[in-house]
Amino acid sequence: MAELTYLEAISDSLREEMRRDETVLCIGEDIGAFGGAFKITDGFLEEFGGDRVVDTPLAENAIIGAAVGAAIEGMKPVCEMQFADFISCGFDQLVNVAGRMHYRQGLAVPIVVRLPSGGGFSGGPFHSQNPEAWFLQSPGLKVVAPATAADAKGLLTAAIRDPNPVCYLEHKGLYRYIKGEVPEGEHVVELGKARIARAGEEMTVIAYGSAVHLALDAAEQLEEDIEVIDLRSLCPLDTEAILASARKTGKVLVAHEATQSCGVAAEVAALVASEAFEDLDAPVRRLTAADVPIPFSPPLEQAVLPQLEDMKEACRELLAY
Amino acid sequence: MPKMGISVSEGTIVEWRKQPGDWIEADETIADVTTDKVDVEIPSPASGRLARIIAEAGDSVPVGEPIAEIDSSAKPGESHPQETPPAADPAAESPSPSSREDGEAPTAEPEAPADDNGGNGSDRSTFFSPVVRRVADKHGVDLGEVAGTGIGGRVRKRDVLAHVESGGGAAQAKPQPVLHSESPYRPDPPPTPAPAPQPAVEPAAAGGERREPMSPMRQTIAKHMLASRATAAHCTTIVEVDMSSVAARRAELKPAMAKRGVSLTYLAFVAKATAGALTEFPAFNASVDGTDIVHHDDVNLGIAVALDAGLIVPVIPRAQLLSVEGLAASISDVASRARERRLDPDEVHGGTFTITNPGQFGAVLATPIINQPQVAILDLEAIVKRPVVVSGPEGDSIAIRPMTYLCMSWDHRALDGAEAAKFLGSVKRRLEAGGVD
Repeated sequence: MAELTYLEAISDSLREEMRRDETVLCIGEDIGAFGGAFKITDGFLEEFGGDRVVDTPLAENAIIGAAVGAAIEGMKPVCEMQFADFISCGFDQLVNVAGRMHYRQGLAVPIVVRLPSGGGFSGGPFHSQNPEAWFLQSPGLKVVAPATAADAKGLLTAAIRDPNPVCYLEHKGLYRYIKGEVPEGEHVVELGKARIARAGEEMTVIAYGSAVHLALDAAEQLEEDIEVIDLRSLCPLDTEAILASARKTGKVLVAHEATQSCGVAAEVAALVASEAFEDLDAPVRRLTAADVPIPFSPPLEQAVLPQLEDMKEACRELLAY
Repeated sequence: MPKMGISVSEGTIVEWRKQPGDWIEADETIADVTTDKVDVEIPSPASGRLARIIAEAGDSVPVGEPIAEIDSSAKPGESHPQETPPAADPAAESPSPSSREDGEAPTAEPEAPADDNGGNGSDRSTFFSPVVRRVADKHGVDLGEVAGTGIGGRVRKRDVLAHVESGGGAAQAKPQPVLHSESPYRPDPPPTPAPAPQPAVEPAAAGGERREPMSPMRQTIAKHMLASRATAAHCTTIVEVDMSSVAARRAELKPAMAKRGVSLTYLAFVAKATAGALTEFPAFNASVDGTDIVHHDDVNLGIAVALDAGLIVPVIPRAQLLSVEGLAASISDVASRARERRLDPDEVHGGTFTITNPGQFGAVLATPIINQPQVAILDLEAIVKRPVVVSGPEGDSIAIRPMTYLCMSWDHRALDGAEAAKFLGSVKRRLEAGGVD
């Protein structure tokens, strides 16, 4: 075990997979000579060379399109979107080409699209978004969102090895903020398995990404018997873990940093309401960002994104219900 | 420790500008902090009194960890946080400028944080959540006996479980049948040994009832009739018709028709007269579509046919072009095929006016329901011989005549009473003139 930041864990997984399997390559903007906007691929060009660490023009559709072609030819490309927000430029290649390839032509497209996402640092509306729900409505893609350094490594390794296109949401606010023990060498976290981040009996917070930390902090500070489920994988969704916890506590809060309408929380809430209705002791609640663009102004951004106090308040309400 | 940039994970306190007990306005600088990149002044997130400093100068604190506590319920001017607040004094200083914790701060009420969402603090002691009901059912708990500790006295899951644990349930006494349906996600329950108590109870309670589901046709009729009632402004107008002339014409034409295998009914004459009247008063050969009235060039005449268990309305298209013989043949054809359930789906659509004729059972009046989206329906009831006053060259006299009532329900949205009376008058005139033109 080594203590790594979330960011270092991502680099670690990438480096190990590239060393282990020569079909793995990285492609993206400024990832080679510059080492990536967030320095994830720092030193990669020197170690693996320009054929496997490919700098591209500012053209997300070209990045993903090239990756799809390479994948069909037997490579395992890992695409970097400089910011998750820019994925909209590559949407067609990802959703319609990569996501439908196996359905239409029976061809596997083992690509990973890394999506540095999330706000909280005055990045404004084009550098702060959490676009995961877009991909959950597009069959053919898997979607993961690690909250810890260990999962950042384990999920990325699993994503690279998975034969499907995988959207890998890495929260920028966690890059250097989260540190943790990460297994050295091979570490794989199975896609589609949630994690009980904190066991409890009185209520459940179901979260992923940055919201997991809000939930854990709220539970600690409130000193209440709160269970926190870290979904880790949004597609496939671990319905078993969600329902088991909902049935145990009877009170469910679903939290994420992404906007509310038609989001992951809506899906989880619908699942719980449908399948665990007779075990519910309170309405299923959501804590999410407001349905607005992310403001640049720090106080406005705080008002839009769920804060620790909001999480504590939401927990207090459900506990008192 | 506030966030100071995306790559900054911790900050070091350089100096506290405020000391415990000091009053702080929102956004006022309370401390200086250094990071590996920049030095920053930390603004206060709220107004209030600095209650406690957690991180001393020189301490390094991860982003997100508390460095101090601000009592936002305090008021400026109080020298000690322990002072009794002058709560009841209306002349006291105005409350502090709005703080982020406004909602909880200014009042001395006990906290009820979930009131906004939970039901405005009203009595919730009679609301039982799904899990509470299920647990109560399972253990035979009378929920009225359970003291609720949730919002508004709501009984929580833990309350009912505690009640059961303390021996409040009647579980051991009477095992209840499972009333709720099981979710497919649930493991199968252990097989119930004997469903003995149930059969004894159910028939006894039923008192000789028999319950059966509505047939699809019954359900369709129910839906259409209710929808029509809810849609149209029903109004029924009735005229009395002397059918003597029709009876005479019918007697005249019947043998020839019988040779062709068609029974010439009174209905055919009424259909003929109606088709003629519809041509004369096209407002009745129409349908309502939203706020539009759609006028139809052709009279597509629906004829309601009673079946063993229900009703169907086959349509005779372009009925205005048919003679009374032609109408008789068409009615006979669709009615017999309707009873044999051999109508094509197309033959029951597109009607513009409907005639219903349940009179063969002796009823004399009815107020039919309009077949939507048409604007009227004509009801022909029994033809009975009655003494009526007839006027002749020698003055009035009483005669025995075959009489009937034509009852027409019409939609007051599209039509008015005078038009309905005129229309029925036209049908009456045509029938009393022999009903063949």
